[in-house]
Amino acid sequence: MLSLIGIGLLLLTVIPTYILRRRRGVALLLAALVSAALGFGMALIPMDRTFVLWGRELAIGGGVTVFGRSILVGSLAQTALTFLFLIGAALFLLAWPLESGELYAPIGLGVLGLLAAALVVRPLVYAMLILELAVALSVLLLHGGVGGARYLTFCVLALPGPLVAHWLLDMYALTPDQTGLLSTASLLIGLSFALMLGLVPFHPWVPALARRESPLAVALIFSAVSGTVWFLLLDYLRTYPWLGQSPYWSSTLTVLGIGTAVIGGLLGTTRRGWGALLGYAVMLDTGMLVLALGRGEALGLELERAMMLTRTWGVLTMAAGLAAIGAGQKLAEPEVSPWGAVAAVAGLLSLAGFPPTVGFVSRWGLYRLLFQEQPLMVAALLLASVGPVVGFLRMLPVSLKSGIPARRAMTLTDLWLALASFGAVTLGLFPQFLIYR
Amino acid sequence: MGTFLEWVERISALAAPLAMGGLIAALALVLVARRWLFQVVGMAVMYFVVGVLHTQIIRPEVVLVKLLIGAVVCLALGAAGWTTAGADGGGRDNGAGGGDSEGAATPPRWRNLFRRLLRWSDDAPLRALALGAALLAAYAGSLRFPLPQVPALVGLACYLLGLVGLFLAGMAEEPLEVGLGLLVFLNGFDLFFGALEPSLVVAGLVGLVQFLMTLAVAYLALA
Repeated sequence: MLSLIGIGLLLLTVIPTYILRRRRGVALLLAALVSAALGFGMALIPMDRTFVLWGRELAIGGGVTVFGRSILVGSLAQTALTFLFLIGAALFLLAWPLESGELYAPIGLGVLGLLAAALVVRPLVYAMLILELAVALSVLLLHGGVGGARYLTFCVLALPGPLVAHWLLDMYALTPDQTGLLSTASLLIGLSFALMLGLVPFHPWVPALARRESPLAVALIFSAVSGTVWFLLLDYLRTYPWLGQSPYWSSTLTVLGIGTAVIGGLLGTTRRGWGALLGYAVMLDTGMLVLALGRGEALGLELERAMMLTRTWGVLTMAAGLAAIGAGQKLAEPEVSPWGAVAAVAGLLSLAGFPPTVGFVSRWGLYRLLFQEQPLMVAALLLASVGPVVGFLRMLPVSLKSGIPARRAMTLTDLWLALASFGAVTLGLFPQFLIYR
Repeated sequence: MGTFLEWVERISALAAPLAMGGLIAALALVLVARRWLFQVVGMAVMYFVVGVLHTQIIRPEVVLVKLLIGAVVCLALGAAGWTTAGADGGGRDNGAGGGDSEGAATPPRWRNLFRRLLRWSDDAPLRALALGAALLAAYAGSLRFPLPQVPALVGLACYLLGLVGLFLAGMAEEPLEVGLGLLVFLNGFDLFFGALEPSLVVAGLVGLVQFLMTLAVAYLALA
C-alpha cells in the first residue's frame, strides 16, 4: 500500500513542480522533500503494520491489485525503493545550485515514479514496459544529440527479449519437457539486460551519453535508471532461480564482466574529456558488478548490493563536480570551481576503486572473493582500475591551464560538493555505516 | 463503429498479400527517400498496413487503438519534421547531392521545393541495397525460423519491419531518423507480440512507449 501511495505522490508532485518551474529552487526543494520523505518512510516504517481505511484493514507493505495487476513490496523491492527515493532526493538537492534546466524537477519526479512502479508491479513483463516509459521520459532531460539517441536505441532494442521470454516461460509451464524454451528465455533475458547495462559489446551509449550531456541528467540515468535495471535483474534471478543455475551463467558473466571492466579501463586512459571519463569509470564499475553477480552465492549478492550503493555515491559526487566545473555545458572556458574539481576527482577515484574512497570498500571485498581462485583476473582488474586515473592525469595539465583561482567566499554549491567529497572519503574510512548494518 | 470494424476485417481477409506490397513501398519511402515528408507518409502507410495485418491475429477493437496511436505518432513526427526543416532553413537536406550555387538567381519557391523533393540523396543506392538485403534476409528468416502463433505472411512482415528498423536506426545520422528506425522496429515486434499477448493493457503500454519515444526523438532532434 505504501508503495502505491509513494508512486501516486511522486506522480502528483509533478504537477506543482511543473507549475513552479520558473521558481526552479522551490520546485527542486519540493521534489527533494517528497523524495526524501518517501525514502525514509520506506526504510523506517514497519511493513507488517496495518491500518484501517474505509472499514478495510490494510497492511502497509501488503500487495494491492490495480487494473488486475499486482503491486507487491518484497524485501528486495523495499530496499530498491528506499535506494531510488533517496537517490532522487540527493539529485534534486544537487540540482538546486548545479542544474540550469527548468524541467529537471518535474521530469525527474516522473522518471522516479515510473521506475518505482517498474520495481513493484507484477508480472515482470509490465515492469519492463514501464521501465521503457521511464527511459523515454529521461531522454527529455538531455541536451539532444547522438548520446541520447544511442541510449534510447539500446534500451528499445532490449524491450522484446523479456517480453518474449515471459511467453516462452508460460509455454514451458505447459510443456515442461521442452527444456529448449528455458535456454532461449535465458538468452533473451541475458541479452536484454546486457543492452540496458551497457556491457561489452553493447557499451557505446555509456561514454557517448556521459561525454555530451548535462552531468546531473547523466547521473540520474547512471544511478536511478541503471540501479532499477540492476534490481530488476536481481528480481528476475529470484523469480526464476534456474537462470542462475545454468552451467553457462557464471562463465558468461565472468567473460562479460571482465571484458566490460578491461575495455572501460583501457578506454579510460584516453583524453576525451571529463564526461567521457565518467562514462568509462561507470563501465569499469559495471564490469565489477557483473563479476560479483556471476559469483552467484549469497556473499556475491550481498557484495552486489554494497557495490551499487558505493557506485551511486561515486557517480553523484563526480557528476556534481563536473556540473560545477561546467562540463557538458559547451562553455568556451571551463568554470573555476576548486570544490567542483575536488568532487570530480573524489567521485572518479571512488568509481575506480582507489583507497581510501568509498568505492574501494566494496571493491576490496570482490578482490578478496576472487583472489584465491583467479589471481590473474584480479591483477587484470587492478590494472583496469588504473585506466580512468591515467586518463585523469593526462587531462590534468590542460585543466590546470586555467590558473589558480582567486580566493572567494564558500557558497552553498561548494558546501554541497565538499559534503559529497567528504562523504566519499569518510565512508571509505568507516564503511561499517554503509554496509555492515 | 460496427461497420468500420467489418470493413477493416474484410480488407484484412482480402488484402493480406496486397498489404505486404504496401508495406514494402512504405518501408522504401522511409528508408530510401530521406525527406521528412516522404518519411512521415511512409510511416502513416506502414501503420495502416500493420493495422490491417494485425486484424488477422487480434480483435479489431484493439487494432483500432493501435491505429489511433499510429495516427498520433505520425502527427508528432510530422510536426517535428516540419519544425526541423524550418530550423534548417527551408528543408532538411540529409546529404542530398547537388545544390544550388549561391550566386545563381533564386528560382520560384514552388519550383525550388519541387526540385528538392525529387533530388536523390547521395546514399540512396546504398539504402536501396539495404532494403533489398532486408527483404532477402526476412524471407529467408521467415522460412527457416517461422515465428510461432502468426500466419506466414505476418511472420514475414515482422521480420521485414524488424530488419528495416535496425538498418534505419543503424544508418541514421540524426535523432529523428533513429526514432523512425526504432518505431519501425517496435512495430515489427508489436505485430508479433500482439499474437502472443493480445491484452489491451499491453497494447496500450506498447503504444504509450511508442508515443513517448516519438516525443523523445522529436525533442532530441529539436534541442
